[in-house]
Formats: sequence, structure tokens, C-alpha cells
Amino acid sequence: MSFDFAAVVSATPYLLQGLLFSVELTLVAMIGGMLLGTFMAIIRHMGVPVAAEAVRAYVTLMRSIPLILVLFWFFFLVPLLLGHLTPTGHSIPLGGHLTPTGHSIPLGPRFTAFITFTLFESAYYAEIVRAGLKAIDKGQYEGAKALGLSTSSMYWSVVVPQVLRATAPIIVSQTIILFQDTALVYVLSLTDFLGAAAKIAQRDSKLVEFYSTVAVVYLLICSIGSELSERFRKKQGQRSSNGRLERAKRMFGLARP
Amino acid sequence: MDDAFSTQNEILQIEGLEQSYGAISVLKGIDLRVKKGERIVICGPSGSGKSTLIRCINGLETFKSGTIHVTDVHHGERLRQLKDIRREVGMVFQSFNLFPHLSVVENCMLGPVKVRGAKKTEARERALYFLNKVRVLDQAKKYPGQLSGGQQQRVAIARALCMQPSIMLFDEPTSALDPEVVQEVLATMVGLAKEGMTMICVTHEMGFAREVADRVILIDGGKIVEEAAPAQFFDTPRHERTRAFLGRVLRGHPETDRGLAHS
Repeated sequence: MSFDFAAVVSATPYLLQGLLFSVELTLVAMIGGMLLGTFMAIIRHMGVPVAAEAVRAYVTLMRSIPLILVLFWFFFLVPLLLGHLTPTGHSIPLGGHLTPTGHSIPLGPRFTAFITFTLFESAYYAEIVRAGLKAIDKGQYEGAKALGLSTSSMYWSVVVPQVLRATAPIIVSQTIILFQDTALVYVLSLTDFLGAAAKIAQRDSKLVEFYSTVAVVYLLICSIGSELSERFRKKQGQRSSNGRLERAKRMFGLARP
Repeated sequence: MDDAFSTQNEILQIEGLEQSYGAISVLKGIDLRVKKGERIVICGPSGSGKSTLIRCINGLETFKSGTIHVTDVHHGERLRQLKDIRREVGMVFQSFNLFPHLSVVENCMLGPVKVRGAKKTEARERALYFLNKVRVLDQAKKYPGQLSGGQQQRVAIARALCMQPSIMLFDEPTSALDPEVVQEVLATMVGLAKEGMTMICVTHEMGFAREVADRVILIDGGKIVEEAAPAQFFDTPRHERTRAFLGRVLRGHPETDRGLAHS
């Protein structure tokens, strides 16, 4: 058996197109998920009546359902539910191209994927950030309040930046999982990196070449991601003369400076 | 006439302040009036409620009953809302509570920019002025984690001063410090007191109390036991509990009894 990399090379533009979508989806879901997740974490941390309970229920629900089911749910059931709310009673295809009036709408399966991944990931990011909020020393909240900072300034300028730094490794690993999970968009007939490779591999009967290439590329991207975040953390750590561990301890108020 | 004048000059009025956690009563009716420029030292055994008292002033703790009124020294108006009170009341904590992700100068700029709406250049200028005043100007670009405890506490004092508060609260500012840096923080506080800042200090530094306080207050069991000028408080205390407390605190620290001659 011999490796036929010429097939891989000739399929590169198509593979890159798939990879681009995977990266795009990862970035949108990460940024959107982090924003939404942080917001939800703060609501829970502050114990806003009703809203905190709603967020808790949402996070529990999202985290107990497989992502693939959430995708199906959004693709097939949400349009059906929305349809019942409209006078015509037709289903409104979020992922389709027709409105009940017959006009095409610009939202396709891509839109479904972006929304679903963002909503799904936000539940995981919310739990990470919430753990971080709890771990920050009470004195940081008091210091901010004593200065007269508003609640939003206290969170955005004082607490959240510290939380994001402290939880960076967990956020990175969650994002790596997210990047790999983007392969599930095949159920929406979307072509991500793995999907693109699988299609060509089957067409050309070059399964080994394509799946090996895909594995190597995933490995490279995820290693680079981890490495970058580690470097970022090291750079942060240099701010302290006592090293990263001491800094982390101080951040959580465990060590006397 | 004289009475009306003194009321006008009062920055802080506390009446009948009570607080309890479950069945445990922490404050049992505290009355305290502080005039502009007065320096009050509050001392007492641990668990006596002295920290709770000053934390009630800027709303870091809630209370069951009683009233607290804070007056804005710049405009002379009585403050109604918590955010206004916090803006006018500066606080220095035992554990500094500097923000570790911001540089020293950024720590000092955050409040003025976010709360007072100051321009960044203006806030930076003021931050550097106060950092110079507490003698940590050379550390302005460093992060709190790179500073010694004494330096951090002086930055915390500068940070509170940058808000140009009407009154400063100190909650055991030297208790977390190594003995050799306590003096540098106390010297900063003495300097502040001499410039006429209204101050309430919860501290066990009796030398500091003797040197700068207008009144020394002993709180025990949630009540004000003794309230007197330092000379009377230390030399001829009226209450047995004050004598007992002073006996415990001053034992082993004979030098503090004589004041801060070297600061």
C-alpha cells in the first residue's frame, strides 16, 4: 500500500474551504459563547431573582443533551414551533430557504450552526466563568465597591479580567473540544474540514491519506492553540517576580504578599 | 448657635446602629458623630464589632436598625444614595485589596475614570501626584504583586485618595504587615492626618492613636465603652474594661505607649 499525497494536494482548495468553515464556526461560537456565558455566569453569581434560576435550568439542560441532538432540535423542531406561532401555521425553516409566504430568506443551515453552537457552548463557558467568579477573593469585590464602582464596572473592569486569566487553561481546552465538535455540522449537510476530507476520500477511495492528513492538521491546530495560550500565560506570569504559582495564589487570596 | 454650627460641620452621623447575625448581636446601638477634620481611632478586642461598624458606613455590611448619614464635604450636602456615599468615603483594607491585573497607576486611575468621569490624562496626573505623596511613585508602572506589603498598602491609600474622598476609613491597615514595614504605613497615615483629612481608623497601633487621634473609642461587645481624648483615654481611663484592654494591648509594646517619636 502506498500513500498517494497527490490526491490530497489536488483536493487542498476544497479542504481549505472546509477548514475555513470549521475555524469560522469555532471563532463565532467561542466569542459569542464566552460573551453570553460570562453574562449568564454573572447573573447566577449575583443571584438575580428568577433570571438566576432560569440560567441554571438552561445550563443544566444544555449540558445534559448531546450536541447533535441540540443541532437537530434547532434545525427541525424550532422552525416547527415558530410556525405554530404564526397565523399560517406553517413551519418556519430556520435552516431552510423559504418563509411561509414563499419568499426566500438569507438564513441557511450555516445560521443554524452558528446559533446552535453559540448557545450550546455558552452553557459550558458559563460554568467555567462561574467557578472563576466564586474563586476570586472577596476582597476584590469589596475593593471595587469601596471605590464606588458600579456593579457592571466591578465585574467588567475588576473581576472578569482576573477570572479569564485564572480560567484560561480550562477555556482553551473547552475551545479545543468545540473545534473538534464542529465536525458534527455534517448532520445539517454543511461541509466542515473533516466532512470535506471524508467526501473526497470516499470519492477517490483514498481513506488512509485523507484521514491521516485530517488527523495531523487537527493535531497541529490544537497544539498551536495550547502553545499560544501557554505563552500568553507565561507573559502574564512575568509580571510577578515570584512566579506564576505565587501569582495564582495571590489572585485567590491564598498567599500573603 | 454653637450647637447648630457643630452639626453643620459634621461629616458623619451614626445613631442607634444595631446589627446582628442570627442570634448573635454584633452592634448594640452605636452613636457616633464625626466633624470635618476629626481623627477618630477605634480599638477593641477582636469580635467586638469595630470592623463591622466602619464597614456599615460605606455599605459593605448591612445593618438592622439605626441611621448613618454621610455629608459631602465638598458641597455640604447630605448623601442619600449608596453610590454617592461610596464615592465620598475612601477605604483602606487590612488585606490591601489592590487589583492584581492592573498596574499601580491603573489601580489609582480606575475609580476617578469610572466613577467620577475623569479624563484619563487628568486621572493619571492625579494618580501620580498621590503616588508621589505616599512615596511609591517609582513603582507606578509595576503590578501590585511585585511590591512589598508596605508599598502595597501605601498604594491602596493613594488609590483611595485619588477619589478625593470626604472621609477616609482604615480597617486595621497594618495588621497584615510585617513589623518592619508597619512604620512606613503609619507615617503615611500621620502625614494624611496632619493635612486635615477626616479619618476613622480601626487599629491596635496605640502609638498612632496617641499621636494623631482627636478621640479614641473603645468598642467592646458591640457598644462604645469609652470615648475620650487620647491623653485621658490612655492615662486616666474611666472604665475598668478600658484599663484591662490597654493592659493587654500595651504589654510587650512599651515603646508604643510613648508615641511615634521617630515617624
